[in-house]
Amino acid sequence: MSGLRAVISNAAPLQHVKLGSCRANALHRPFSRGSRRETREKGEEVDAAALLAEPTWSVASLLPPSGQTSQAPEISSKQLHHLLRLSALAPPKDAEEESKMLETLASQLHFVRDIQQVDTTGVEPLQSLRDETASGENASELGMAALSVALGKEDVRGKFHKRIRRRRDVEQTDEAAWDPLSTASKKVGRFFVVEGGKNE
Amino acid sequence: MSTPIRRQAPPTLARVLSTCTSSATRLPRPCVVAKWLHSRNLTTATPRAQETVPLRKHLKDEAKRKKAEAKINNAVAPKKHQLDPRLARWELTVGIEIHAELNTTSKLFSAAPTEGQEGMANSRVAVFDAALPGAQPHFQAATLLPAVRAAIALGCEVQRKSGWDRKHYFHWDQPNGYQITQYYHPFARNGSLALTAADGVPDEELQGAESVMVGIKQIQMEQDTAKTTNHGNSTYHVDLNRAGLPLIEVITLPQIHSPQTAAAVVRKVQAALRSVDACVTGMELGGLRADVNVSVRERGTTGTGTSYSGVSGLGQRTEIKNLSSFKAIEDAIVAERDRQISVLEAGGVIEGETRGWTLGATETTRLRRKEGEVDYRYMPDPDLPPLIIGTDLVEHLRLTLPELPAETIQRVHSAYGLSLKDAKTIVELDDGDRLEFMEHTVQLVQQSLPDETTDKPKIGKLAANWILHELGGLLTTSETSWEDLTLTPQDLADILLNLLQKQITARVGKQLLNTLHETPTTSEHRPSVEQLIEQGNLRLRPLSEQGYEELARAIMEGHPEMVEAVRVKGQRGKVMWFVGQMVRRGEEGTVEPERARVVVERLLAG
Repeated sequence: MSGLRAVISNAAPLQHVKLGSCRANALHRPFSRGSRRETREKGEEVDAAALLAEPTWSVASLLPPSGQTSQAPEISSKQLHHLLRLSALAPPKDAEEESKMLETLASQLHFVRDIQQVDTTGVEPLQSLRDETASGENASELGMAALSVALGKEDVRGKFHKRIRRRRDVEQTDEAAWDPLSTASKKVGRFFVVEGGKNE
Repeated sequence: MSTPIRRQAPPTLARVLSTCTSSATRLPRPCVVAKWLHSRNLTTATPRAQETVPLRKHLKDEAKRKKAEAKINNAVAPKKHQLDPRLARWELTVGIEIHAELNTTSKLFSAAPTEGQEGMANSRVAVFDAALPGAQPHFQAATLLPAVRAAIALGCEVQRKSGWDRKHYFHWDQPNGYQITQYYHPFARNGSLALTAADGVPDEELQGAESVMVGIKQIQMEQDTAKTTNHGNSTYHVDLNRAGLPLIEVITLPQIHSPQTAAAVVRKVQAALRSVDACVTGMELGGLRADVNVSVRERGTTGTGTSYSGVSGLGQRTEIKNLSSFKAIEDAIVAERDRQISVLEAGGVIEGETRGWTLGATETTRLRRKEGEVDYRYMPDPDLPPLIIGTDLVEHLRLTLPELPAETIQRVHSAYGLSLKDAKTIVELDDGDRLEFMEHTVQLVQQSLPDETTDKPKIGKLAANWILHELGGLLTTSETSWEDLTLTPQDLADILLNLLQKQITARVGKQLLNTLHETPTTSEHRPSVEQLIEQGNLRLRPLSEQGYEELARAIMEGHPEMVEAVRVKGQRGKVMWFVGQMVRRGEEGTVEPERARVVVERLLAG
């Protein structure tokens, strides 16, 4: 598996860059709080306009610095075409579009490298938000109780040579009410039609 | 004693029979027709002097003649297992991935049914199967039953917690754009399969051991794709009925070293899965498919140093996809092995690629190069919670697991005295129903016998022979299937009981079988075996010793040349011919072959 992973893993760490009014030290921790909050005292009236005048963070910090050469290795045209094929996206029409795509991809990779600066040793990646406590797991466990209905739909066949066989009486469900072909633009009889030719 | 009816050949063969017989000329055998005529007690012309040639003798003569011809023509008959001399230098290693459809009521992630409305395409499709935007997967817990049973049957450890991952690739048979599988955390790991010579493992691989162990790396659950058919140039018709059907993928370790073993592994896995009701459609119906990974290395070396899941020192492997019959597996592996050896011996390098095989081909064809390998970008599916299987369920299924075929065959072999081959046959026939019939019959016979001296193996052997051969023959000739059989174990038990108590002969028994088979069980006038014996006067009225001698002498006088053959030429096999003649000539149900043989031997010797 080459392509994306190779490009990112070979990246150099992000450089310290001054960006206008943005606090420089905020760059190293992308989602850190601005320093404005520390100076507010209790009871003091908040000057909302002044508060909102200066940004504490700009998304520009996520983009590659203009005028400075990126330290990341170049993405080759071959890699670009491979990635476009994997994602089923159209290949670039001409060299201009290709260079534009490469630029966009480079800036996207700059952002990804930024994210990867976060230290995640020992942290299990989050798949989705679920109840991960022990009681939550036990509640979602599939044991005899959850399978009791399915176990009841089986028979034991034979007295001497016992075999388990699933009962095959077909139940008519209401789900059959939906016709999958109703959304098809091209169909023949009860089949979906796909044109598999390459020049679409 | 009634005069025996003379058997005569039909007029159509009279011309043939009129030619002079000599060992050099070959005549069509009249014996089949003669037998047919005799069974119907028909006669036409007078018989010729030539005796009917038994089938076995005719076949032997034919074989001898062919061999003599071949010798004359210096044609060397090819040896059955001509071992390729290159195999002394090169060693084959094979790993197999088997995809089998699970036997469930609904699909894996939707409640659409797996059966029903056959023939109507796109009739069992849920919203998620058609990948309508926003449709969510819902894991159907009932699919765990066959899956966990399959894992236990193949000796795997069922993992309490496993995950669902997306395997991304675009194809019109995959509406979602990804297949949900278990790439990172499969639900079962570390199983094993034991194969013996009886399963088909060649001696070169066994090398004196009893059995060969093939490890199973893991078993995972995944979705099946839709069915596509090609119509015209590049038009495809898609049927989503099969999309989302639950499959298990069984991945073995690369511990297989011959093509026959590879086919044996797939056969054994199919049989084991069928016996626990996990996967009931076989390879012939497309319910089970295999992909094989083949590599070779020089014996004594570590190949290219590649390793797979703990097995190291292998050569570069190639994958052959979508093999759909046992023969295809063997042939494809042999072809690929030969190709790889040729390439390596010529100094080339094997590329890791995907290849295909078509029936009747001599070499595998390249499907996909390494550069064209798809990057599946596996990621855990965020829509599905991890799969947590309770230990109480696993224990329950382990305790109630049906017998695996290997165990059944051993049990039948030891308890009923059948040979391993017969045991294997009867266990595999009719989904185990024939074995059930046999066991029931044996139990009934044992119960009805007055004393316990007749041991189970004796009854078992007799019952098995009758069920396999007599009943089997009956089913074939009357073109009935096992389900439509009207004979009950009680009927057969009655016949066998009478046989064991020497109340009837075997021929009479077969007749009774035929009669009972023709009368359906629903008719009120269905007679019992006892009634039939009484009505037909079929009870064995044993002939006296004198009666046997008279009959034997009569036959011997009629055929002095046969007597000479036995006495002078010492052809002991002809004795049974005499016995056959006595049984035919004697009245129905009077002549016992055993006693007749004793008498004939005594007379011929004396």
